[in-house]
Amino acid sequence: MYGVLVIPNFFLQAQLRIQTELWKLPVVLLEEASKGNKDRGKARILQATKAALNAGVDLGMTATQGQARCGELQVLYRSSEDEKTAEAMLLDRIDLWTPDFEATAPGVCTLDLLGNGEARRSPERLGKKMVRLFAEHGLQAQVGFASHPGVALLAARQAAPVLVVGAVGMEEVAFLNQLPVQALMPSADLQEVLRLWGVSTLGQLRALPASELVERLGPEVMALIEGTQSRRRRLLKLVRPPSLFLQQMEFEHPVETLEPLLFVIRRMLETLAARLAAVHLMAGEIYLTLGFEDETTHERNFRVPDPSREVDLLFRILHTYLENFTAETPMVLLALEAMPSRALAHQFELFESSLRDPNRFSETLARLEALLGEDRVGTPEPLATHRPDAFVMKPFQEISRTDQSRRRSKKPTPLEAARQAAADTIRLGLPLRRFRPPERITVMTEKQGPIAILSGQVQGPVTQQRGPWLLSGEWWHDALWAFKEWDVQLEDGGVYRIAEVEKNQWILVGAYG
Amino acid sequence: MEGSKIVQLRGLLKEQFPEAHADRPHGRDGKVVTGLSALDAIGLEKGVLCEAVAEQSSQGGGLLFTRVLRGLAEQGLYTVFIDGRDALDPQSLGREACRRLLWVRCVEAAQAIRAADLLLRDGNLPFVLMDLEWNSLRELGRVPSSSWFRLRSLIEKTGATLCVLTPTRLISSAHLRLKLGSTFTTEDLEEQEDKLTDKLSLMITRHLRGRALAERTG
Repeated sequence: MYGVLVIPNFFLQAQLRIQTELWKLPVVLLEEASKGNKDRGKARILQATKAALNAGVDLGMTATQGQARCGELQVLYRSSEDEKTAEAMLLDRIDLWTPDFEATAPGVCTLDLLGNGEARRSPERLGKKMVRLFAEHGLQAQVGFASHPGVALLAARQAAPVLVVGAVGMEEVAFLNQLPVQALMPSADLQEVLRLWGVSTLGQLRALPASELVERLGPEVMALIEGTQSRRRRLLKLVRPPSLFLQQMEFEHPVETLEPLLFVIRRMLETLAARLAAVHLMAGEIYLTLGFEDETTHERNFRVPDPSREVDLLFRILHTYLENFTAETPMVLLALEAMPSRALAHQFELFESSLRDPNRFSETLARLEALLGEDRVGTPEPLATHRPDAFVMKPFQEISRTDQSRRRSKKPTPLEAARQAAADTIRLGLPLRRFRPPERITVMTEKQGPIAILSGQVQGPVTQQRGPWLLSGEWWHDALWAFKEWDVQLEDGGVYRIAEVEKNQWILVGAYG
Repeated sequence: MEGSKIVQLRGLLKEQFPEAHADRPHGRDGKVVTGLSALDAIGLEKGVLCEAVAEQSSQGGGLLFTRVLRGLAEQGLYTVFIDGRDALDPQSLGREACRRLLWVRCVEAAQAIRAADLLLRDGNLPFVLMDLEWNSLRELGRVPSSSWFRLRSLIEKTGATLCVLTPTRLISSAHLRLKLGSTFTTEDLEEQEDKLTDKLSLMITRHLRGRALAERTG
């Protein structure tokens, strides 16, 4: 048994749901896109109240034409927000009768009522209940029941307000045969041909030989007829609410050590993995939330580079992080949420090299971060500035993925290619290695040039020097920088870069080679 | 039968795409193609622990590593640079080479050894460079030789290549030891890098070629 609930003139009803008094007045609804547009005057009437239709207003007219027929005509424009709200309300209420339903079109829902006892016993009563419920929410509904979704939809369109076709109601064949052809919503051309042929009901249409009908009128007519035949039953595209893969636990006794927490985390992950497996999905990200006795919380997001629902792998990711995590107060709440994702489909280029096991690598990076600190592992990205040592650390994975997508996306522009070529070809001098932080040194100078380094980890007389190189920048805000740089060679053969940051204030920047 | 088909397919691919095969870092003879002619002439083998010793400042250790990192990046490979004293200058390395680099910024030798251990066990990135040139001798002396043996056994197991730059002969378990003997002056700062690379002198002081190969082939 299938039921179809139709909200006739859904767009108009969605707008007038709250202003029900307007139903008695001549009101028309126009396309939303035309609102505020210079073509606003050309917008056509989509839907209209009975009062407007009775006053001679027809669908497809412009607002001006409508107002010429009816001076009191009120004009409204479609509101997607109102429609979304009404649609959400509709789907939410439908869930009361069956979990298996399809949002067939705006304002049309097809319900699979196989498991609904009331629908079997008294579909008429069920239909009336539905109509009453939606009336309370300002929507006028029509409900049709049949053993076939297509027939149920036709029944709903003909219902006033409930129509049952089949076992306990009107016989299906009789219902279909007397149905006017317009109820199938054929195209205007087809409708005109059928009118000229004198075919006005579906029964008359079905009586014609099918193959010759298709030869003359094309496949559209066949689709219309087959849509009403029980043997061509289609599968419903069921609406499923978004699943939340969340596990949460409030501890009766505050947790102070890692072991009990890990025990709970593993159990939670097992549950989450089983739920993900049931819907053939993987965990692409995991959100960890820890709540503490002092009512503070700690949140952390873990990305799973190669989405997986393997418990051991997900557990290791969390374990690695928590091993080095400390908190000032004991823990009272733990929540884990998995963000579902589809399994990653790789399509590598023929000779492309990539990571063998991205998940393992991600875990190794987490271990390295735990060992060295968060900004100590990654990929450096030099900044577009002349300020020395200006770079940011980026996560390694992110850059490798961007790189792959960038390579696939497009060729560089001629300007980019020229810049790249210049950067690649013009390389002068020895690479620098920097002392971080730069060391303060004492430098003996003569004629404002360095002649010896007197203190610090490198010392000695200067045998060769180049400079000064005057550098400055960002003078337009507080972070301005300015200094004189010198390249010097000491007696031991080492070539160094030193800089005078202020008068007689020197630093050892780095060493060449 | 199946095996012969695979061999045929490989042959066909090699014929059709010779440049793709020429660029592989581990060639047919298992040697790493770094793009640095001085090093490629010596032949850095797969599964080898290499020690490059720079006893004095500005002997070209930085140039050696920069060129190798850039060469491997040009081949589309990701590399690891374990920086014993957080000294790398990304601007000297260049934007493109940076994009394919995992930079591990340590402050002491013990951290660098631990990081190398983790990365070699991981096995995702087959080429690891470690710069310990600026770490103090006292600090390096505290690294037990068993740590280097452990790294060597990991390398042999995974087929990765580890190249370590040190200020003195330090790694008794190294398969290959090179001594840097170049001298550079301030005038070289205006020379093109390619010319400076030609001046780079690498002297082999230890090479366990036969042994390493025998161990690898089992």
